[in-house]
Amino acid sequence: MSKETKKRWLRPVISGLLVILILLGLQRLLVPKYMGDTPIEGAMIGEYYDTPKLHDVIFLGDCEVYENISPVDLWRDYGISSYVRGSAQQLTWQSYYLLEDTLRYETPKAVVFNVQALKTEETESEAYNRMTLDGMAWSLSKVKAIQASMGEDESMVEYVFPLLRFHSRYSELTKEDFTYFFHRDVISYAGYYMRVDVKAAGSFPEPRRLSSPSLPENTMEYLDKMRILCKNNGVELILMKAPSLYPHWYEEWDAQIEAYAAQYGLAYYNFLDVTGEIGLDYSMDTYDGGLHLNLSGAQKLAEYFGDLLVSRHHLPDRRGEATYQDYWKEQETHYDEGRNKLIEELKKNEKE
Amino acid sequence: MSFTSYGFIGIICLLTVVYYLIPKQFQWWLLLIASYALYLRAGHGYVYFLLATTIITYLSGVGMKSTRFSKNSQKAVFVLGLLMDLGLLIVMKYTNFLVENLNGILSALHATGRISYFDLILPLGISFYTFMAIGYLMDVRGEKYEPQSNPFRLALFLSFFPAISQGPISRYDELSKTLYGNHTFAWERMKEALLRILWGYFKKLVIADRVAVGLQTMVAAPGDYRGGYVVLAMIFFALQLYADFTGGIDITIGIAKLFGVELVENFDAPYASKSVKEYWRRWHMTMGTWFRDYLMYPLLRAGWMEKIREGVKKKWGKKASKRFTTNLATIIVWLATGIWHGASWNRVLWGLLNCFFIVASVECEPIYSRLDEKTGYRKRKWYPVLAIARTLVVMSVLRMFECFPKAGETLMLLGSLFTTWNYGEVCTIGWLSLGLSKVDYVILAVGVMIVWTVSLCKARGITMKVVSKRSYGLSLGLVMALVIMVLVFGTYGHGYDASAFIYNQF
Repeated sequence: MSKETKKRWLRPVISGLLVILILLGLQRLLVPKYMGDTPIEGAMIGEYYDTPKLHDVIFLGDCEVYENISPVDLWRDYGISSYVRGSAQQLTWQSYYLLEDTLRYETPKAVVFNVQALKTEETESEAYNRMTLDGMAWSLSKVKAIQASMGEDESMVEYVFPLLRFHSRYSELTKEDFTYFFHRDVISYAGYYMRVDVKAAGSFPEPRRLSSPSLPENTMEYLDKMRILCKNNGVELILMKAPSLYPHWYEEWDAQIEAYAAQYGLAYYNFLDVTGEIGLDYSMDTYDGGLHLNLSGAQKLAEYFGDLLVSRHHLPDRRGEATYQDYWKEQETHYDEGRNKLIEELKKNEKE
Repeated sequence: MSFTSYGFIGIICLLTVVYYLIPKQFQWWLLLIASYALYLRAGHGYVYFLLATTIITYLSGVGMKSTRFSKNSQKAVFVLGLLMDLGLLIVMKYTNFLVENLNGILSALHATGRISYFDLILPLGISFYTFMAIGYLMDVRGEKYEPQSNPFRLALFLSFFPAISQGPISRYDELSKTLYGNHTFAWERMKEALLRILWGYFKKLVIADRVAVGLQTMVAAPGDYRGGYVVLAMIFFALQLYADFTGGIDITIGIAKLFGVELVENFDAPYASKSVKEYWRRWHMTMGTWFRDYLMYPLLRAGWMEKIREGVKKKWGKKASKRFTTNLATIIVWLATGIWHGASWNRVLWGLLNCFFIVASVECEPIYSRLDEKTGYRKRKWYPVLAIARTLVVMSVLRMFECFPKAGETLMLLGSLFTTWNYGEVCTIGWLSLGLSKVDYVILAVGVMIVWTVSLCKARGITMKVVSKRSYGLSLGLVMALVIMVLVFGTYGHGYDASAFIYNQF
């Protein structure tokens, strides 16, 4: 190849790379960082990829999972190594594809799916889609998750190149966007979103009459796909309903899930039925009036659920195993620091 | 498929790669297939009309040159082809306008019956490809060139996808030079094409679609936005129309250039015109020259016009007869231009008002000349600026008939300029109540400055072609700047409903 030919081809290639580099930089700057100014739930799905894949239990679901289940407490109390793969308004099919995605990295002994999301048959918000899907690592599962989740005005290209979606954030950039240009803080505790404040449960609107007693067909199909996927991978699927008082969980739905679980020999725990046994006090154990538990509530739930997982599902106690100890020691430190910081902030706010 | 959709951009990238990989003799076939595939995607029903026009034009073109036909038969074939092409356009575009007016007459006569509207679709780009077909037939008839013997080649001429939805209205002899050629990949041409496309997207997405948000607010509730808001509407519409249409044409010309096809320019700094007549020589030039060559000149040469000319000549002399027939032809041309832009009385009025300013300017020219002889005002430094400003104001007022759909409403709004004194409110809080933020206004201002600077450079001969040839670093810098500006400051994507190109509706 002559020098002139080389130059003719090299110039556009280098120029193209330069353009790509600048665009990648802009993309990094403009995408939401989910570190405080923007809802932090958006950062949680992505954090999974930075952890050692040493989990015996994976929890799947929406806020009822990531705000109620505390893996660090499950570890401390029972030596259960677990992780929550949950995000805001996480839809059933998103949980399914997150399960597919998780199985690319590890094969847990059990997967716990929170059934509340089964009631939602359609994508409700692009912003929630983004918080779940943007954090997923690229794989066929992510592509399928996007395809299944996209609303009418969404486009696959905008998921591939988030700059196209978030370009107009140039007018809302904050210090956070520059601070977290190169790195992100770890904001969850093995997928758990910690809150230490208290807001006692109040009254909720009367539940509306159901137009249909059954849960939507499409979400039940994804539940079935989840069951088959678990079965094919030798993973036990456990169903749970978190002890969140609202949105209302109807008896008809509960009966349907019970019947489904019985049909396939799955365990189903509706924690709303055993709040007394768990020891939940909704005047103290919730931070938003009964929708989600605070740390005190999550610790009680972990103690109760951990016992079930050990006694009925024979999950091993890993506390004596060196490979797990390092990982969980780090998690415990992060958890304690986070809790102390939140308590300090709470005290400071109360004083003010 | 819109020029601004991700899918379209993806298809163009793919087509460009395939175009230069396949044997050169198949390149125009690929363009034909792509043109029809994209046209089908726009709507299945549209394609029958495009096919019909193509078949009629092909048969008429070949027929009128066939030695098997007598001279009279050849003329009949030409007239028939012309009437059928035009008939399709008239039926599809103006039938319901006719029904609307007939119902209006019935209502005025207090008659009980009403004519039902027809369920007609307006095929995409029908006004453009019909004009191209008519131009082709008239040129063949006038022996400007031989008819195309390959129907598929003619089909490509009429359906070439970058230009079908908003022009330019190409002439067969010009377009055919590069449309069917065997093209080799050339970096220089690609660079030039890319710059042109990006420049088009900049105008469309950064300026036109941004200003459209504010304009739509006012158009949706004209009763709420009078007085000073009408001035804003004039400015907004002037910006939107220019950026949208010239941006669309830039993208069209750029895409054609990717395939080595050269399309004619459609604009020549129209907002720098010193008169309405000059404006129309610089705006949508291919439409202007089409009306001139295929309507104005044939009208002036028509037998009945000759008779009128003779009649006027006998009464008022030769000079007056020439002026009379020219003005008569101008009125007919502007009636046609108005109705071509849209089937509504608003458009007819708009056309006639444009005509009025053009004819008045021509008729008053002797007065202006005498005044200039006495005062020399045309030689003053400020005169060109004043003339440009005057034309901008006149055109902005006339464009209100394009912007608002009803003639009565438009007149009411123009009247409110003098009756509703809310200019203070518009300048303080009103301008921020139209859906545009301060940041939007800053981006618009910078965008307009950039467009203006580029126009000045172009006037001094510094075109994109020159830039892309002379300095690699500068053209790279321009590409990067345009990519970044379009991607970051463009009005597109989730949460935006990008307006379709305004001229797509014709």
